[in-house]
Amino acid sequence: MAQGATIAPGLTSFLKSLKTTPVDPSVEHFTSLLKRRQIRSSRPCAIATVALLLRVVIEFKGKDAAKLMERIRQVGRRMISAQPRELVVGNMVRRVLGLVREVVDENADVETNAASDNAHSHHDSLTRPNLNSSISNFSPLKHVATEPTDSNLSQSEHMSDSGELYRRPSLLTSHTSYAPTSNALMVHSLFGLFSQPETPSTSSTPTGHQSPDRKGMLTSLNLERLANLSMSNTTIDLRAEVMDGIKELQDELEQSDELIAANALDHIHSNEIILTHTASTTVQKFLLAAARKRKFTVVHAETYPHDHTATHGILLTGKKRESHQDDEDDVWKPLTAAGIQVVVIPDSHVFAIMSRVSKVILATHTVLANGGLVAAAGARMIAKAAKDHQTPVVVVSGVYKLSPVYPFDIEELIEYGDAGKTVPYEDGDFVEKVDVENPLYDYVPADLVDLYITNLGGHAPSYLYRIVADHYRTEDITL
Amino acid sequence: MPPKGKRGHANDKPKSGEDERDEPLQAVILADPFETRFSPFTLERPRCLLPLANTPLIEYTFEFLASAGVEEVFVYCGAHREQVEDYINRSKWVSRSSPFAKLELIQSTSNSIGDAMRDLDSRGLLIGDFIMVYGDVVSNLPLESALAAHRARRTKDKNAIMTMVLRAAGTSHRTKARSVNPVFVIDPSKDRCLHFEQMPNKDGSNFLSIDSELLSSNQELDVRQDLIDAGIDICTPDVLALWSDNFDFQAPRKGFLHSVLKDYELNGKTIHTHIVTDHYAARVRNLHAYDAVSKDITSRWAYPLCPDSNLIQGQSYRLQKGNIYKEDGVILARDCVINSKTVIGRGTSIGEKSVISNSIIGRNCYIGRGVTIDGAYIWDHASIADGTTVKRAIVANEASLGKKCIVEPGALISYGVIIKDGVTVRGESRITRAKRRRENGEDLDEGKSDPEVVGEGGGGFEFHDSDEDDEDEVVDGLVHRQPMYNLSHHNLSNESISTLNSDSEADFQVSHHTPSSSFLSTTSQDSDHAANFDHDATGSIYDSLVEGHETANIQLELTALRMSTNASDHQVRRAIIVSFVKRLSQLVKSGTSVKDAVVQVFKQHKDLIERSIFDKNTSVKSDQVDFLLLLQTELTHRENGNMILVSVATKLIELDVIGDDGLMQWWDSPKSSEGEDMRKVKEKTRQLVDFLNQSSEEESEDDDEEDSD
Amino acid sequence: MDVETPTAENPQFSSPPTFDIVSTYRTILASDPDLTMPVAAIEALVEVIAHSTVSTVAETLDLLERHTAILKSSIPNPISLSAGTDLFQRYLVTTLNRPASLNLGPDDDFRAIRNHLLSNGRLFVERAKASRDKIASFGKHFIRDGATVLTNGGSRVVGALLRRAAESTHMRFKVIYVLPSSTSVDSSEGHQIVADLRSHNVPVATIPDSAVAYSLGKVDMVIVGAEGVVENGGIISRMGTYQMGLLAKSKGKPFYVVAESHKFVRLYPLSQFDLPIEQTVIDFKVSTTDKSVSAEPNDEGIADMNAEEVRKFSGNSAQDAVDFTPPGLISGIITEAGVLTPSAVSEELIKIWF
Repeated sequence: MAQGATIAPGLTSFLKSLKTTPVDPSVEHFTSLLKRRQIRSSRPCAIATVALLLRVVIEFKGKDAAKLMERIRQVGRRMISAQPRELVVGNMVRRVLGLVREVVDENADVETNAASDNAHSHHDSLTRPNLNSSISNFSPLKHVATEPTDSNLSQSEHMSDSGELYRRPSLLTSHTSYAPTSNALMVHSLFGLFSQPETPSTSSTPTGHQSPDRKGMLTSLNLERLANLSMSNTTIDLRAEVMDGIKELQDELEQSDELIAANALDHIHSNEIILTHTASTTVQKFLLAAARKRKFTVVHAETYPHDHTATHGILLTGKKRESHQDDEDDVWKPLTAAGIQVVVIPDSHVFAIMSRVSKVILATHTVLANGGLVAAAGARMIAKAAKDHQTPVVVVSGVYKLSPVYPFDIEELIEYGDAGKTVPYEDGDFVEKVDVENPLYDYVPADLVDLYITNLGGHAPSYLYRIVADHYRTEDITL
Repeated sequence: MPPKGKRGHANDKPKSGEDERDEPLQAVILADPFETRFSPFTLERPRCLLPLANTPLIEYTFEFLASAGVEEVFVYCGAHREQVEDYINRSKWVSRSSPFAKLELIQSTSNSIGDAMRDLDSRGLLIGDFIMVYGDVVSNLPLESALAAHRARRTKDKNAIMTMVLRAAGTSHRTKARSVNPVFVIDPSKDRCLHFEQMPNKDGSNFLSIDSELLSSNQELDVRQDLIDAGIDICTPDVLALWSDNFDFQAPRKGFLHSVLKDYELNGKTIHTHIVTDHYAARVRNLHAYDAVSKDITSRWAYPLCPDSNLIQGQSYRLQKGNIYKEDGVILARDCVINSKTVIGRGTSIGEKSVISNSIIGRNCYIGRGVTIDGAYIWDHASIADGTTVKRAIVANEASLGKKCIVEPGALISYGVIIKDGVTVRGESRITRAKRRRENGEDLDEGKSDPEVVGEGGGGFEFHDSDEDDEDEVVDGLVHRQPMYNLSHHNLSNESISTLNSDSEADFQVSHHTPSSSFLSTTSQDSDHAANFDHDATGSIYDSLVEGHETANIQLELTALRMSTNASDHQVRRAIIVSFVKRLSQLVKSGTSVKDAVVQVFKQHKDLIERSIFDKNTSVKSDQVDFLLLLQTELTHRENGNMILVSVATKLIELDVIGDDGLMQWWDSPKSSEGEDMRKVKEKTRQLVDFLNQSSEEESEDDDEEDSD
Repeated sequence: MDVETPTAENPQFSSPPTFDIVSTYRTILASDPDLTMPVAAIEALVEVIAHSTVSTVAETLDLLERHTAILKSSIPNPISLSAGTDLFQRYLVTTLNRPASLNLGPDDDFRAIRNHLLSNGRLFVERAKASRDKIASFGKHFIRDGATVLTNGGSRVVGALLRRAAESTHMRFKVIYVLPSSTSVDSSEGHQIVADLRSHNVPVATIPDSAVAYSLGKVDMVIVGAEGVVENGGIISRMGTYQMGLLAKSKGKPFYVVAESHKFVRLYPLSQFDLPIEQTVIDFKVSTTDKSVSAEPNDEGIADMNAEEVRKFSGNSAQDAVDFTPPGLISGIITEAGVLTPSAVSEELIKIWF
């Protein structure tokens, strides 16, 4: 059929063109796609961004880390400004920056390396998952990370017991406080008072390099050192290492759903009634994973108007019926095929049915540092209803959706969509006389959420900042 | 000279590789629809660069094409080419990253769309199917399905040459063309458009004449007038060919579409419709549409085409509750009120106690204290001093309003106009500084200011097109005023005959080029009757012609009608002409040679004509001239009208209905030779004139022979 | 071993040990109006070291130990002060144990550190103020266009924050300021801030404590300062903050705390009444007893009123007392290191103590 000839531009076309187009046009291309909403929703954005950044690194000439980071930052800013509400883009940029810094640190001072090593080994026993994460995110050189399969094995198996731990996530997570970056950052914030006067960085970046523990510190100083140390061409291949790191990141994007799904059995028990909404691959996979062993009922709110077709599609065929979702090439069995009873309800029915629901599982668009989240419209109502019935609310989300940016203004994050979906545009009088709004997202405050399940395990909302600290450098938070 | 978007880095095209077609998807943008709907603004800026929600119109068109996956774009522009050109050159669309592999600007000497199309055909740039849009389309339609449908049809039937993409809308809709009312007769089974007519949106004149065979041949017919026609056509090269074949086509709809459909038997081409019921599609056709579309955009009907998706580089609009869009660096006084559905550009400052609602304000505007702006459009760098009130008006770039002015709804204040303190700008007035359209290179010549309008020491004067009735059109444009509608198309300025064809002219309106006797130029209420007369008369005469009634009876009917509506002789004449010509061309189509047809119609009913002409023995044959003029104009729309004109003229001379001097006077009358196709039609008749000059019988006969076959 | 430092000998004070930390502390505090108690305390301790001739780590720590003790004991509400002293102590411990980290060049020895401390005495203050600015510039993002902010107390940080927000031109916000009717120091500071804001033409309304619930309906967010941020993320702040927290919670308004991170203090209060200070806010009595109130005007804010003032509470005003706002009521703590959830505080403390 000739239709393919003029398929609308989207993620696939972008990735295709990316292979052969230099960075700057690609960035333009990407931004325009974002503006036209032809690439939208977290995952595609994340994939595109990372792919693009990979190109940036590949094209980057020279060894100067500072320059590379500046380059990434500048590209990142352009992408973010294109669609500020897709926080994922920003997340990915920061993650990559973090990678660069990591590489720099690895090579900057070796004794630090040693320190961090025994730090890792020391905590091995306590929290394998976090170790895993910190490795795969921060030190692409570690052999553990180089064969992801094994690390994921260990990870997933630990997922399962971290599952039991989820009643006291504080315990679980507080250990991670020893993760190199966070440690550095924290130490600063209390001792910063005493740092030395001639430190240029204290005023600018929150992390002064004078604080007693310099692990994971990247400052202008040792950056320069790295620069001229690379001038005196010592054997560090910045690009290669960063690229490895980015590959890791891509793996993470791919695997996050599976890793999350690995927790399913700990949270979904037989004969439960699970309520969820909107069309989310993460949630579907999560439920499917549970469905393999257990029988339960899924009540699905359809999130009319902006997502219901997709929802119906995902329930019926396991594939979203959306043109721009051409990246969703992997079709999986729909829940019904797995012998799960699925009930679709209009959003307006949520409260009424909530009394019978035993657990609410929400997909999310973005998770915010303060423990709140931005999810498909209707999420807040569901969460509120759940709160009212004391029904636990579980949010499943890949770490890549976790944004370090503090949401100063929630309104900024809510995207308002095509009013025509709420009221048909044909209705002339209506269009003329009535203002129609169609918000795509809801902001769900932290206190309505009981548990987050990421590819690292379960976390209480109030401890998300910890994950943030593990994955992002404070220096990068403001791009 | 055309800016080249760099060609063929094939990978940047937003296209999925699988089943790649060899020819890329092409599109033609008619940046200048050859109208004066936006005067006085279009005197100084090309229409496609006028800001809509603070973004140049053409950006929306480009966005639309880009998101449809178009790769090669040809922009046709008439006036202000250089401005368009350097805008495009600076835009992102020619940059490396542009989704268009190729972006060509075509300067055409043509002064009508028809000519543009023919020119395009001659250039032979378009290989395969292409999309034709105006430079003022705003749409977020995904075209895949339409294209697919089109191609599917194509593969089945080579004659399916065109698919019009239409947006269904309710019977009453702000975004629909108000002034005229396009009616599509569609065969829903094949999505085929069978008949098209454009009727003025005026009670009493809504007549639709459908060929009887349409009704008989199709068991199902949709007659739809609830469609927004955004002028988005998917065409095949044959379309261009067709344009070239019929050099008298001017308007894509009324001209091309209408006649192609009518001549289905002749050319066998079919035109199809693709009616969508979701997404957004509209044309900024006139100021009224400008208002409507702006509203649609601010209230997000055209999502993602909203201010906050910042289409152009460097925009930074943010959405706030109640569809308020503010760019960074807007300076608001602590107690000014910004109401919903408002857009404010960077660097604009708004003073205390000012109230802004439902308005779009450009960049770097200065709004003083206690200003009230409601439903108005303030373009960049405009300044409005304290205490002024602006309602539903347009204030263009660099214009400045003094203190305590009142701008009434519908007013247009053009570039750089200066209104002094305390002046009240009347609703229908259009104030400008530019005298006439700025031609290439030449800089704008200022008319001298008129203190009446702008106050002492102000700058600017009341704008008048060569056509006197212009305000009405504009008033209709921005502010909705019922009784004006029938007048809404009086902007047919003489210098641009194309305007008249460019869209939305019902046949009988054509005639009002002639002096004030035109019923249309008379005031609205009795023009109703007039219109009625016109229709009834034409209708009845035509019918009786078809049924071959006695001339006497027809005459009787006609007189009766005329009495009842006290229509002018002029109208009678026109009625006759219209019906005769209609009959004529019908006969011609049905195979009879022009000559015979003429004989059949005119000879038989010569009395009718004679009784409408009363200047047999006056020296100034005003009536005859008028008659011929009517004939001529009427014929401009018929195919090979020139042929007909010749033979009719000859016949009339022969019948001595028209005297030689009558013909001469007509020939020499300026009106008969203004505008492209008037001249075109006239040309052939030259032979006759020459011949009359050295009157020799046979040649004329020969002429007729030639002509008739 | 005790340390004789004749240089520090001060005639009119004769309190052991030889160097009068308390008076130093007070003078420092008095010298600079916008100096916080923790910093002042640190200053004082630096002074102590300066006047001492200690040469070993052990000595120094011991010295500080003692002086800190004195300082705390001599002041009725040592909470925020202790934050400073503890921090300083920890810092010394960590640095002294790992002198290399200061990289003061090759000759890392105790003297180096000492010199570092002494030379940078003022610097600490600078940095403390700097961190306040940082908070201000960072926290001003919380205030959106058209917002109404409810705040209380004479917190300098809050003041700075609001002022900063007011300075940014296209920000339009209103402030409702809870002012006690009394003439206590921080209410007068409150008055200053109000006047200041009004001069920046920010519309400010002042209301009494009793009107908080009433006006909360018009409020978008609550921002308060804190005297100390305790381990569980709760805060210790002027009397009335707790009830604001409760009301804000019940009205679902965000309740933000602004505090420099050197105000973090190692306490774990579970209720109002296990704060390590003695304040007789609730004072039951029968009509007969009536004590004449003798209060000399105090000039260093809450913490520095001495015993008889504490008694004064029972009489007329409870404004100068403090209360404890549990973490559950707090939506975020704005520090110069960023916005923390209450639960993050404990971690930060853990970092330096274990």
